[in-house]
Amino acid sequence: MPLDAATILHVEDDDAHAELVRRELGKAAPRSPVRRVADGAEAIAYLSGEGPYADRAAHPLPALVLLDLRLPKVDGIEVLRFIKDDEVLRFIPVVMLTSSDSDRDLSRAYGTHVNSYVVKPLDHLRFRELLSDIARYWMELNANPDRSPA
Amino acid sequence: MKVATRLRASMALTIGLSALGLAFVAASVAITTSTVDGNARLQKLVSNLYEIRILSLEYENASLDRTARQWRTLHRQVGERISAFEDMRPEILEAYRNAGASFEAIVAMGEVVSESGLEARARAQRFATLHIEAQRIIDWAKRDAELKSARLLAALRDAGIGIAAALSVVALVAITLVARLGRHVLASIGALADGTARIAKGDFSPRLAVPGGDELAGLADSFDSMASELQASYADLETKNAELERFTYTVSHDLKSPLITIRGFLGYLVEDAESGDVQRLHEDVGRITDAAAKMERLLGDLLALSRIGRMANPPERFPMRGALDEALSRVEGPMKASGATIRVGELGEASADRERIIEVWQNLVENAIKYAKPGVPPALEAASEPRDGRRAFLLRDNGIGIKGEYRDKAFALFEKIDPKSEGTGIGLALVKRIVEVHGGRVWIEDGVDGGSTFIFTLADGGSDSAA
Repeated sequence: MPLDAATILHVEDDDAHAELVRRELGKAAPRSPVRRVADGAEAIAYLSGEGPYADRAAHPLPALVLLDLRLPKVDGIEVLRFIKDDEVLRFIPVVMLTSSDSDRDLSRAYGTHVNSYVVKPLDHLRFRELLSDIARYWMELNANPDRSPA
Repeated sequence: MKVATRLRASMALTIGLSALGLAFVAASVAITTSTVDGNARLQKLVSNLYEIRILSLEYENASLDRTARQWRTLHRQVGERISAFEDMRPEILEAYRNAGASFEAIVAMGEVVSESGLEARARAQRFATLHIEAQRIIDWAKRDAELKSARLLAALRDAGIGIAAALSVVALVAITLVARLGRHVLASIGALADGTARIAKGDFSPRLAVPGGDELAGLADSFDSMASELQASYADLETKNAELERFTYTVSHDLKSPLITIRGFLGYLVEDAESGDVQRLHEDVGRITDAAAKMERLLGDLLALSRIGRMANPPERFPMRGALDEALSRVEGPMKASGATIRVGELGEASADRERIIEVWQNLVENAIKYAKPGVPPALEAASEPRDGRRAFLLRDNGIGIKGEYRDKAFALFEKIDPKSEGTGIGLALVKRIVEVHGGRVWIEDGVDGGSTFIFTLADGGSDSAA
């Protein structure tokens, strides 16, 4: 699968945070289109190709999901559970990108088979580094399986 | 039976036992004393009788007047003594009197001069009869003395057995009572100690439920109600603690979130300035300003929320219309800006903290304006109607509405159903808290054109027409 075609799905309710991530990923992974959805229900709709997301050509399955924890309607853990319970979707790496550093959230996320858990840093430069690292690691270094079930 | 009563009963039994024992000892002493006395008197009597017999023999040998006088004196004295015996047998008395008569008859015969002849034989015969009678009296008296002794001893033995049996029964009852009391007391105290130890370890479930109406059952009752109260306050504390934990968690998250925005876009400002991209610079400053405003709103709402816990104003009775009007005056700006209209029906009265109820209306109206359909001016309707036997107050809107599955979540602290909304997620949580502090309930039903209706009740909802 060509790397430059790999879409990143960003699930984030905060517009400003979404913009921060969009800008940083634009620099770190310029050829990966970032799709952003603003709540958990929309994320599930996108991933299952429902409603406005039925067209897979326009809304391709992502190679990586960046998932916020606290989301309106359906929260991040529920979205994560939906992904990991699905035979196909569970092959997509999910990185929790959240401002929560609580142990409870961390263990709930890992309990639901998250692939990575990172806390949004306050500092702008560190934020930039983090997004760059995530893009490099998950989009370049990490070997992702073919998305069809074995 | 009360423990004190049982203790008193046991003590009374013990005292009774001791008294019985003492009585037994006293009776034994008395009986023994009287037996010994009676026997001594009988012994004395028997020896007197022997003396009479000896005197009779003397008189047979030598019929001296002195001997006869002695005989008579002794006979009279012994006769009195015999009569003094309360239970002397009549045949003994009769025989004794006969002996006296026989002796007088012998004396009357006079002294025998010649040893020969009928007279001497008759005299000897009379003497023989007298001796035999005297011996018979002696034998009777001796036998009586023995019989009496035997009877007294038998009575003494029977009494002893009876009293011992009674003592045994009473002692058995006393021991049983004390043993049962002891078991009861020990079991109750054991349960109490066990329960206390478990409570000390944080397990509030033990209940003693000691049966009966005694002091220990009373103590167990007190213990049980104490445990229940502890359990309730502990559960309450845990709920509050969980709420506080959630609160701290969300506050730290929701305050951190705009900080990330502010610091992130501050970083871009430098780039914007360096690259001379003025438009993006304006955008980024706008994002920073929005984030700062969001923090400010959050802090303001947090302050409002923290006030509810200590509801200072005492409940008062007031017309609900007045409270709604005051709330509307506070949101006049947003009302005008959105072109909102409101129709108010009959609201009746409420008994509550008026200031907080104004806040409820204010938040509901603000919420309705915030979630209006784009391009459609909010048309609101405030009214009241009876629900579940209470007066319910409602605010109907024609806004974007909330889907059934999100209606409960709408009231949760920091929850926003619409990610694009301006709110902090506190307004409806505030409404819920205020309504619940007043013992009421708040929920959402369908409104006009897919909008929502917010309905709330209060513990004392209204005096009139509600029902």
